[in-house]
Amino acid sequence: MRLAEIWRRLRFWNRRDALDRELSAELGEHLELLVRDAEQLGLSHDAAIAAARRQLGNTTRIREESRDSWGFRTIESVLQDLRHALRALRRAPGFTIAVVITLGLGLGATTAIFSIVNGVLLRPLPFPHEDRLITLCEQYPGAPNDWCSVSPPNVEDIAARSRSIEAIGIGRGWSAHLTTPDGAQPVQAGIASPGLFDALGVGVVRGRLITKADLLGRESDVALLTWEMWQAKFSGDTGIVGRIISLDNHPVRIVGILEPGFHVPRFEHIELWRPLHVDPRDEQNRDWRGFVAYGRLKPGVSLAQARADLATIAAALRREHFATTRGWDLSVLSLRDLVVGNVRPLLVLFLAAVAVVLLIACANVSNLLLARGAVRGREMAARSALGASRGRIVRSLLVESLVLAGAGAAVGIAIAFGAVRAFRALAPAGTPRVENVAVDARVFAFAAALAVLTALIVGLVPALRAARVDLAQALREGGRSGPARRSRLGSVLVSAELAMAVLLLAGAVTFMKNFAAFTAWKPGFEREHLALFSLSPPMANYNSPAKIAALWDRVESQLGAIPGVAAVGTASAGPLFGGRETWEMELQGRPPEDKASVRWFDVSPGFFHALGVALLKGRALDAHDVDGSPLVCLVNQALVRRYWPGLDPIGRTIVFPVGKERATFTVVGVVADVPLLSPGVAVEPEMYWSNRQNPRPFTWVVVRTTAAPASLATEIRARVKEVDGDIGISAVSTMPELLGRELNTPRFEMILLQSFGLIALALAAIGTYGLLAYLVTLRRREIGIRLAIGAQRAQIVSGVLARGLGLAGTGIAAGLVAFLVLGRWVAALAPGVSMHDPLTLSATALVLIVVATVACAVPALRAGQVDPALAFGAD
Amino acid sequence: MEVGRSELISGTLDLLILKTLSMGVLHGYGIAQHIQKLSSDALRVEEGSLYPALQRMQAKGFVSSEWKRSPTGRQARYYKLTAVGRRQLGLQESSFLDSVAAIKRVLRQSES
Repeated sequence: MRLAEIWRRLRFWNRRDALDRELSAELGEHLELLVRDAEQLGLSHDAAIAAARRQLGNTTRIREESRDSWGFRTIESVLQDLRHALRALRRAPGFTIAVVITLGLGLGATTAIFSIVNGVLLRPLPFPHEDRLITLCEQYPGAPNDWCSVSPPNVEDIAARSRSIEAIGIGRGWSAHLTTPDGAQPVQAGIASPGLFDALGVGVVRGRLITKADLLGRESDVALLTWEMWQAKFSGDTGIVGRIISLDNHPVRIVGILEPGFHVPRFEHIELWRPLHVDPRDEQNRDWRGFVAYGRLKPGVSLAQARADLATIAAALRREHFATTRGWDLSVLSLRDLVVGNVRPLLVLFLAAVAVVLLIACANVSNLLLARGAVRGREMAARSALGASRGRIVRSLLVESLVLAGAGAAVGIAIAFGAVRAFRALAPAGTPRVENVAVDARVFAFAAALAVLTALIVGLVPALRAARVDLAQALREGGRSGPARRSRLGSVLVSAELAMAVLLLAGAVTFMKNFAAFTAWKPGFEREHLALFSLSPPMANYNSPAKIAALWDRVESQLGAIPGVAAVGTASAGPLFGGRETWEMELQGRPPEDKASVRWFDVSPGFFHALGVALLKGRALDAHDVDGSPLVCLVNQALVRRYWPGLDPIGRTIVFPVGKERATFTVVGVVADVPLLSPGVAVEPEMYWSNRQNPRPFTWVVVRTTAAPASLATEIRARVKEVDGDIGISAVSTMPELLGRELNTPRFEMILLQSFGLIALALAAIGTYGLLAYLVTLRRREIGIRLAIGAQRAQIVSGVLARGLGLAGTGIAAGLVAFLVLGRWVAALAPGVSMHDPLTLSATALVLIVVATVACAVPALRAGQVDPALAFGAD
Repeated sequence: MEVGRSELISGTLDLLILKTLSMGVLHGYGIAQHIQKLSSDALRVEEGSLYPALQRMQAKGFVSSEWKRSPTGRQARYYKLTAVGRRQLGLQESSFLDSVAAIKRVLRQSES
């Protein structure tokens, strides 16, 4: 419609009453002229009028059709449909409520999951040019799947050679202690190169950023504060810039305050940034892959172009530095993928699962609409007899579905608000970007679009069906035309619902088994009586290996003296605690270019005893293994299995190459493997040396207790403070607590899928019940006749039951097949759980059969109670 | 359908009205008379259907109208072709003739 036409129509609309009068006058005039013509041909006055009327046609319809040109007939008639729909729905409150609740559940669950997907996956990261932000990952033997990191010299080389990267920097956590009058306080601190802030496009609200001049050739003696830390720890003191604070007894000058809300992805908790304290170009650090890179591509450079550029650089770096590292490579990821890549498949799975729930809800509503259409046949016939076109009837029924879907969407959005609030409270720790999850404009738009789509899905077929009325037959039959055809489509829908419910339930059972496998974790030691915490002494006071070793001695003996403590050990990391450090080692008997990726730990001589892990061969680390004595280490079974299969590891050597220096350890013992929490994931090769021989100023402490471990927390903290009040000590937790934290994610996944499965089951059961109840109602008279001529009630009951269970059987079989096909995809998300095990499948099928039987039983029994007298009565 | 009288090919009513009005200003009755006379009664228009078409063409701006006293001294609404309508007539006419020619070709071919 062109603008001029809209304008004309508006003008016509404005004076439509006058136009109607004019048209009537015009038609009257026309009629009179026709009458005059007819009379001139010799007809009588009455015959002339009749002939003229015939010639002119139905004036009511002419006026109706003319009105189409005055204004906006479609809009008006849709409004009319709307009023009609509201009236019709008000007359059927039971139906309306059932449909709105069903659709509300389906749309609500879908909208809630979409809000999560939107907040976590779709919303951009809060940085300028976030679509150009990337990170780099070094590939090397033993690189963990869920970590992506680089070494400083590699990033320096890449920055110098790349033609696609505009700015790049690196960062990592580097814990520190703030010296205060009340003793040392641990600070969440990190180290970064200036490029990090450049790439992420952050500025300062006060002072300046760190620069290259802060970086090279000196101890890092400046720091940037996050705005939040400035507010929390320094109360927003405006004189803070330039002030000297003491970090680990080392004077550090605050040079700037970062903009509010700035958090470095992957290091969101860090509140103080210092410049890198090592020279990023130092070859010593070529293998120190402990940094996350943050880069920004030049404008107009695509990720694919960047990949090609980086591939060339990677080839050069491989030639120059990694000739002996098998499989070394570089990969490029968008920064968003780094942040949310791990949760994406799971969220997509949830979205798919919830879409299935919505489809089941749609099938139910479709069936309700079909049944309603069947009983409204007479109404449709009447409307059609009064001149409504088929299109008009379909449209009015679709408007009815739209009203229902709209109400469902309103309920759904309310549900989504509640669900999102619950999600933000319950989301497992470490879920990225939880704070972004909200019901925002995009979620609203999604819900609205989904409601329209839903209305079309549920309404179109029933509307077409209902509008295809055979007038005479419908009026004669009293509006029950063709129940057989309708029930056939209904049966297909119910079978499909049951199939989808099977699919979701089997998925839920899989995640339940996944969770059960986690809880059943058997680490090989008693896990209930362990207290764990970490210590970080101020480096300035403990600046030599001997001093740190002496400190660990004192801590261990102090804690060992607490009543209720059985043993004490210290280690850099262990089962469920501490970070992850790997290196490519040279193992005796293997060619030097065939480096072995080994995870390494420093542990106290008593660590394995305290933890309860058995020494299988050789000797334990002991008090003679100190700084200056020959380097020795323990290895686990996995290392022997992987690298020295069939050989005796005792007495063999492992070389730890750092730049040009090489530390050679002699293996003195083998300890048992500690199975990982994730079932089905193999234990990595590990080596352990003594933290008295190579001490580092950070450790975890493992306390084996006879009393309940949590009850000793206060005493433990007091004893550590007695040793040195400036030591930073983390909260004391217990092994069951750490395990509980690890279980949060699988538990959350399980609960979510369980809820979907249960909603699906309930909806499918209601759908099955609804269809059979409807069929029984339609066939009451037939059943009455059959009873009257001698059929047994039991036959009638079993007939209905068989019909229902037949549908259930088809649905369940289809669902199981679908699950077997789709299971492979789910398998990747629940490692270590077999998808195709008969228990999952048969348990799911059994639940469905029981539920379907119950759903069928009620209508079947009701069919058995039909009064044979009905056969002779009316409806 | 009455035998021997062609139902109007759908959409051609507009064309006939436009063509009729291109010869001068007329009221509804006059348009109906004109179409029937020229087509020697072969095209049978249910005369009332002229009016919705006239309203539609007014909305589109092809036709304008005005109440005037008729020669017989009665008030009647007279319709007039606008410049847009004249352009539209040219378009519709040529596309109609094109399709008629095409149909003829097809018919001749299937007869031979």
